Amino acid sequence: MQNRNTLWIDGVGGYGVYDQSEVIFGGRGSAPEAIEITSDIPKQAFSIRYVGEDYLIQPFERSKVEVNNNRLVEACVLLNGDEIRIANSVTLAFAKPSPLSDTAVLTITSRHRWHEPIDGVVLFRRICVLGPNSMAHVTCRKWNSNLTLYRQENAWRYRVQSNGGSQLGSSNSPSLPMATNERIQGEDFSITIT
Amino acid sequence: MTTTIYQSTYKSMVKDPRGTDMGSSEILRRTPMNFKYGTGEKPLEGYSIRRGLGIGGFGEVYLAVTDAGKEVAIKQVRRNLDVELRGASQCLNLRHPNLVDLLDIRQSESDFGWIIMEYVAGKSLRELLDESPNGLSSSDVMTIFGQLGAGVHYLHEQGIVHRDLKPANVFIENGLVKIGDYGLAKFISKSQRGGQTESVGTFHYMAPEIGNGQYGKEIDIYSLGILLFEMLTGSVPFDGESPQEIILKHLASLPDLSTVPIHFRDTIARALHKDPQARFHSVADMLSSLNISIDRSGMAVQPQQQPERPHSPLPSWDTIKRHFGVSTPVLKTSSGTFEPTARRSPNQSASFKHAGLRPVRYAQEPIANAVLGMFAEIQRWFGQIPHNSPWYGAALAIVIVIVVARGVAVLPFIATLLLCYIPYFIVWSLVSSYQPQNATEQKLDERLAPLPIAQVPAGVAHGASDASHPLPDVVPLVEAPIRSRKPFRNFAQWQSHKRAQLQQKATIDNWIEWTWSVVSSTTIVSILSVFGYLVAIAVAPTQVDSSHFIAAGTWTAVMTLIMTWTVLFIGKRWERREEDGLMFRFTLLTVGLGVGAVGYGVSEFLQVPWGNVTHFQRDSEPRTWPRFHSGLTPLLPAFMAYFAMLMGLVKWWRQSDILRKHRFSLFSVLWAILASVILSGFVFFPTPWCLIVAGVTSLALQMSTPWIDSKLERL
Repeated sequence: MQNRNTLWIDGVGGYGVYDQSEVIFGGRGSAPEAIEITSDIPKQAFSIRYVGEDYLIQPFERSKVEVNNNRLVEACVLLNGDEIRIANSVTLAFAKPSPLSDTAVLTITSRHRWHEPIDGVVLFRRICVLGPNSMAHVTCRKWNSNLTLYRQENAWRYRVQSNGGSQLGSSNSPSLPMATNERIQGEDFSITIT
Repeated sequence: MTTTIYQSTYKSMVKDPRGTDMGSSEILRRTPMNFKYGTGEKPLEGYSIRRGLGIGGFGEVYLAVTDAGKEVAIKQVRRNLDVELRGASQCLNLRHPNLVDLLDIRQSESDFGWIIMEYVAGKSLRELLDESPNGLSSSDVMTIFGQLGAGVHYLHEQGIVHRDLKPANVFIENGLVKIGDYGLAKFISKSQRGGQTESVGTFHYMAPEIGNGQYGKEIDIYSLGILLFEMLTGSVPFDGESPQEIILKHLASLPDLSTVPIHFRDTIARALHKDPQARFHSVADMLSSLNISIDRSGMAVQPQQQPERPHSPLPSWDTIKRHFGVSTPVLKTSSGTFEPTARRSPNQSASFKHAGLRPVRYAQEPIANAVLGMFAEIQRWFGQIPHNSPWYGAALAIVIVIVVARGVAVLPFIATLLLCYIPYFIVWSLVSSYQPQNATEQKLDERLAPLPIAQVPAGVAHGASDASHPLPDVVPLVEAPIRSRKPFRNFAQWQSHKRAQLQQKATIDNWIEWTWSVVSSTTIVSILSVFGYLVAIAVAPTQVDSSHFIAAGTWTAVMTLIMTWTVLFIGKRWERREEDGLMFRFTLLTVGLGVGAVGYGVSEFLQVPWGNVTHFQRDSEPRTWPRFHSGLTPLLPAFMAYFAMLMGLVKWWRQSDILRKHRFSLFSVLWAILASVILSGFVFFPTPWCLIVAGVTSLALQMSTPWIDSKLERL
């Protein structure tokens, strides 16, 4: 897959970061064309396409895809908190936690794993917020700060806001570049993007 | 002495520049994640680090991948190397499904010790409890605790005391509980109790006897008691501002078990006994007190689970589906397919807007469900007959004959049933379906939804570097929400909290609710108008022309609708604001002037003969004003004055508030009518029409607006 990075967050998890408008998910042997879930679902089970401000899930032919227990035969808009089930087997949770950003996160909730040693897939749109509260795209409970990750001119950049983002006394760090394979370490966090 | 030992232990934790012991983190609350090794590094040959997992008092733990691709957790031991490695080596060959497997112990070139362990991808119990601040369900607790106990029981059987049981050391992956962190595990034989030289464990989970250095496996039973308490309630039984306070409570206080479900109380009370000898003699005994046994393979065996919720007297759609083996009907839309039972999130409408769809709210009306279920059963039965069977042909022929021969006779009957069903469905939707479902959905969604946030847009004045690399314009930098564990003290507090939450509701959702309320109120007013008209015709004197009543009744219905829609509109706008009585009244009073003007216009349009349809005592002429009335007919100023005062006198916004105290208050209706009576005595206005407008408006408002039950939410 192109435009793919992996975000490693110490003490939290690893996340595949995809910023293309359409990603395909499939079962064992589907990589690199699709994001592979180690399971017996079809190699191309469904795709998620970013249209406007929404994510549309589109099942492939012969794939049994359900959203919130509703069998899908055509494209459907995904909403925060939706549960995707494929072939009565793999279950994914779709989260779009911040109303201010279209970045979404997919995590597996059934007894399956991503083929890569990651904990979730981030469908990246402009920014991705890592932080201690539930509005962050990736919740890092023990952090004291929010870290906003974004892309500019095909390069990753980040900015840290201290005090957990409270209105009073908070301060933003300057925008800083983030090279791949470089570890960014703060007072209570450390991340690497590869 | 005991306190001193505890204190010294605490100081040693705090003085540790990392301050990162998992135990002390319970008090320090912050755990710096300054791992020595980063992604891709290979501090130990054959293992490539992916990321840091956690930092304990004895070292750092990483997720690593072997050259062959196997995921493992590797723990670097930097402090207390001998203690840690000895503990690990004693556990190296232990095998139990509820223990994290220790795979190997290695020594790196830098003389650091490395423990290679099974990697558990799931969450820790700490994370689960953080996500459920009020505790887990009893059934979940039983499942987790049974496995936890089985793992600890196995350790004890092998002569190992864990000594640091706490939620951060318990991992759950795919429902399987695994106990980790053997760093502090120490071999204790029955004949060699205690003799410990340093305090171990974590304050909140430490048994009181640890301070004197004489302890055995009873400390694990004590920790299990604390864990059981915390899983059920979301909080530890002994908490405090300082380590000393917590320790003193362990030594002297009794746990408050009032918040614990009754069938767990005896178990916890005995496990937390100050005297170790008075506790359970084994973990198996402790599990047994909860009807959990350990089978020959060492696994926990749960008692037969009882359903937590009583069955609904009416079968649900899912039950019908299961019972009849039917597939759910699918609704096709322009770009999506949904089943009737689709549950959508509160933001559904907003997203559907972009997709060009309209949100559809389906209800499980019991009659429709039963009829659909019957058809599904017939369909299923019919589908079971092989198509090449003669029975299939015969059954098909019988159906065709019946339809052809009796279809015409049956059609009117079906049409009558349908005609009866339509008003029934409207009333059912209004009274039972939409309202509770909506309120329940909101209630559930709010439990899942994030709490209000303080949003700080990215500023532009953050230094020169910001100008060259501006952050995207939308940055959700927000305060960490803290969920309240306590119920609200009173209605006002609950209302204030909920109103803040309502501010997060999508505007489109608000207007959908408003539209629904308008439709509902229109239906209610129409039904009541027809009913009122029939009553009026029935009781009116025969000499009065019925067309006069029709004109007055129509005016009443129209004005009631205008009043209701106006209040619904304003109320919806104020729903998210704290009440400002004076300002609200003034606004309504001003709006009332306009409503009155419209009322006058409608009256003129309908040519309502007020003098012929006004009820008053003939011996007491109503007080009319020169420029306000012409005889018994009110003029424009009277209309404007009456409606302005009516709008300003009654707190209409409260009757349409989603957070009102009661779903329906008869008192509010009576007060609206009384206010109308008072006002019509002051500025004469035709009765009973003005009373009907006030009363029906109040009734329609309360029946048509959604409502959240504070009593349910404050439980």
